[in-house]
Amino acid sequence: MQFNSIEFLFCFLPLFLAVYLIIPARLRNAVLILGSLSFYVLSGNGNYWWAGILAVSTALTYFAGLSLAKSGRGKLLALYLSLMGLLLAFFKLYAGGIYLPAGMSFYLFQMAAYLIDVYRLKFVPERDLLAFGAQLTFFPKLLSGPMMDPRRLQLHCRYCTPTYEDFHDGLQELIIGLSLKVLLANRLGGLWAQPSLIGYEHISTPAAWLGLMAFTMQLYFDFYGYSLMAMGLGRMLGYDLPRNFDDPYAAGSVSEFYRRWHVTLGAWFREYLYIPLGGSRKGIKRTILNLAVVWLFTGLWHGVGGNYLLWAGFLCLLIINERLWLGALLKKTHVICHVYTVFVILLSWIPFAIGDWNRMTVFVGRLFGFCGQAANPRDYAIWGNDYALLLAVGVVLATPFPRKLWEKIRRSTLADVMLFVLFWAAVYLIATAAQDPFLYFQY
Amino acid sequence: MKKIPLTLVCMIVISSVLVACLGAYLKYEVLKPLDIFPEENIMSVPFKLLADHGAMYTLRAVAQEELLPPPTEPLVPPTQAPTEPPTVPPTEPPTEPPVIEVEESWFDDVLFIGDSRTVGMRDYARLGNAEYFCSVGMTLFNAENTWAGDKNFQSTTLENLLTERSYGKIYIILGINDCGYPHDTLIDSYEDLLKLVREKQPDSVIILQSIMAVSKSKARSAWYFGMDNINAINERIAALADGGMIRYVDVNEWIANEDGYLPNDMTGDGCHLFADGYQAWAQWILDSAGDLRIP
Repeated sequence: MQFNSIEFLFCFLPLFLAVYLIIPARLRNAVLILGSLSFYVLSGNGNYWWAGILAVSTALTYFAGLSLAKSGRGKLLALYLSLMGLLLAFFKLYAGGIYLPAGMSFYLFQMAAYLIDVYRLKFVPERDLLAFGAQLTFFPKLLSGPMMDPRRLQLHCRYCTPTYEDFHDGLQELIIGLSLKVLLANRLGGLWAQPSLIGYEHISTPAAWLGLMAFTMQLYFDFYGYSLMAMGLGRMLGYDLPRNFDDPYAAGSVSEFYRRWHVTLGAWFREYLYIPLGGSRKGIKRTILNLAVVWLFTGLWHGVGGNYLLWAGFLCLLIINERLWLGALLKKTHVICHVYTVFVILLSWIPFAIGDWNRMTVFVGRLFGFCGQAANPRDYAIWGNDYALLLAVGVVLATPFPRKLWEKIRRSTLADVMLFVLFWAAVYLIATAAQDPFLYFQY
Repeated sequence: MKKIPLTLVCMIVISSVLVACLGAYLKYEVLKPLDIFPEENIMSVPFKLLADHGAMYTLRAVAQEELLPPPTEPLVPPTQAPTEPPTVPPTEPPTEPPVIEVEESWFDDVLFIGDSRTVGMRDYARLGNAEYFCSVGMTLFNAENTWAGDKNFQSTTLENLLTERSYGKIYIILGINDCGYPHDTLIDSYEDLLKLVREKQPDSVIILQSIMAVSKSKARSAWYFGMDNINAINERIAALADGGMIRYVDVNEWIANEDGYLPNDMTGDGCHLFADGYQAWAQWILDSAGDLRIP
């Protein structure tokens, strides 16, 4: 069950909120666990065993945390971590990942972080099983994060009562996220679909760039919108989830981009892989090796296909280059660094967007105009005409300014009316775009 | 701290309840007897109805029937005997003109009316100076309410276009977006469209093209894309033609593979053609135009 579904917005969420806000505070953790597990069951398309794996791994993590705290037993930690790694590798590799339970990479990483921090004696492990379970299975962040810093997660185990302010602000975030995903990302997906419909070899070079731009924005607003929805839902229930996107397209280098993009995943790899490997403290050769290891795992985390390794490898080279030579130069510029970043990030999404090697090379060929021929040299004008408004809105929303403006007006009636309209516009698109014999817009 | 207004929360809650009530009323009172959206949740129903021209078409037809005054006296029996067959089909041309050699200029007085597949032809394979009234998502039900423009005319409705300009030949290539509807309703709306075109362009020859097949995997994705369904609709479309001023051409004779499906190497999504596919389709239309024996 996705957040942007009628079932979630008008059935699961109101029912859950009603129960959660009415029952006595001491029962809330139990209700949260029940709610999260039901959410997971409903998300699983009949794969009830998903919820089983989640419940068992959560309980195991709880007891493992308690046992690790008694003494810093490295072997035990290694055992737990290998178990988790094996479980994830099994599902990711088994039958190409189609049996992978949704969100498993997220919650297993969350559990691993918790155990490592307990082992490092950063805090006393949580003793309240219900509170711990409620936080690990917390449905707003279950499927796609954000991942939590374990200390913050543990703080959340102390009971929270949402205020009306939380509820209102959370609802606002939820609607903004929903709008970004449904009104912007999904529709830009229509533009990205065009090149593959018409055949990559037949598109013009400007059309190829337009398509790549559309994919880039679709990916960003899809994940950003989703993360805002998760944050909003958390806030409505009284919990502060971390920000996952910090205006990445305003970054002045690729390194900075990945400190602002999917922030919580980057933070995980830094804290639990890069720094333990020595980070940048052991000389430049070791730093490069460490970066390579981190990006290898980042690639694998996204998928086991060669295209993800290509994506990660390309980024890794860019980042190493910035660290060795380009970074200092970029810092001296104001505009060029942004142009460079957006340009190389656009290119980096190609293997992410097109998994098939042959198709990818054809697309790159069209992008730089050295193979194939445009069937209609003015195709970009047709697409541009159809999608100009969406693209313009996307570009503006990828800058930090709308957020700043929003912070100024968010408590006004105008803001509420605007969100009300956006909400129903999004619901309209969700309701009418469903797979249904009586309605399919796409042809 | 500034007090936070209740506006947003109240508006969302109240409007949701209202939409749910409206949806329940529509679903159980209005649409249930017509068997429209039997499986839909009540929150979706009002929106689906708004967007679904086919359902609106049925609703309007029902409403018009109800608005007619009930007959106060027995209806006069029809004057013509319905069983009497016409001796000679009136529209059949007396002698068949020879197959003619068609060049691209033959298309200079042609209008193509169609959905996204025709949009593809318009954008990647224009024929002569033909004009195209087409739009992504066009259905038989919404064709009359659709706005579309082409290089020689601004965005307009079909009715306006047919009033302002005249065409010698009009191709209609619709139906893939309608194939989930009951065939009778679908053919009714096709007849309405033909009536409009005929009324505005009494002298033009109307050429109906069969619904182009979809790929095998697409056909398996939903029952209404199945070849049995599409072929059955095509038979009904063919029956609308009279061989004179309304013709029928079957594109699947050319494009479909031996199993009757759209070949996989011609399509990215199982329904739309690659650019060279549109060019081949246009070429086929050109090559087969001679068989129509229309000067």
